[in-house]
Amino acid sequence: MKTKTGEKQDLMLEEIEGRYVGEWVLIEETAWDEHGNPTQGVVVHHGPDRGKLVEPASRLHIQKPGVKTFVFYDGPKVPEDLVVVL
Amino acid sequence: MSQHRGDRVQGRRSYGGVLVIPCQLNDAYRYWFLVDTGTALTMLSRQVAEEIGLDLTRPVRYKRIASVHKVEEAPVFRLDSLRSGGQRTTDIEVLVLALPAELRVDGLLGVNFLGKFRPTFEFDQGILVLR
Repeated sequence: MKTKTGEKQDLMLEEIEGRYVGEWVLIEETAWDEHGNPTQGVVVHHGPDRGKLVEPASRLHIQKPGVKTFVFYDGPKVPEDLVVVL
Repeated sequence: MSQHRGDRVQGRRSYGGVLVIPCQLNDAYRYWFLVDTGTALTMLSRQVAEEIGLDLTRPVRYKRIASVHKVEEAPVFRLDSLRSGGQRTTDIEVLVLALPAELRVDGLLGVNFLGKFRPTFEFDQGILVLR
C-alpha cells in the first residue's frame, strides 16, 4: 500500500492480513508488542508465487542491515482439503 | 521454572488441527512454521534458506532423513538463533528441504528446538507453551 505521495504505508498487521488473500506477503516490521511480536509493518512485496519474494527479501536485508521482516501467506496455512501427514 | 506470558506462543490451528506458529530466525527473519513433534531436526524451505543467506553449496554435513514416503539425504546448516515467542535458542542445526507448494508455511519446528523446553499444547486456543 502506498500513500498519495508514493510512500509505503505503515499498517497494523491486522490491516495487512486480509488485503492480499491467496498471496504471499513480505513486510518490514516496524512496531512490536512487549513480547517482540510484530504489530505493524510496511508491505514490501506480495504475490502468488512464494519464490518471487526471495529476491526482494534478500535485497531489503542487504540494503537495511538490522531490518526485521515477516513473510507469510495471507490465508489458511494448510488448505481446507489437505491432510498433513509428514 | 516459571510460566510467564512470553512462554505462551500464540499460533493458529490449520486444517486437520495442526498448529502453526511464527518463528524468527537470526533475530531478523520471521516465518510461519508448522509445529511437528515427529520431526527431529527443524526444517526450512529452500526459499527461506536463500533469504537468510545460507550458502546452499556449503552445508555443515548431510543427514539421512526418513519421511513418510522415502529415505533421502538432506543438507544440514547451522543458524545463529531461532526464536519462538519469548524463547530463543542459539547455534541450532536445521535441514533445508523443499516443502510441498500446497503447504503455506516456511518450515517445520522440530524436536531439536522443542526439546530444549517443556512444550505443552493448548490446541483449543492455538497456543504452544514453552517453559
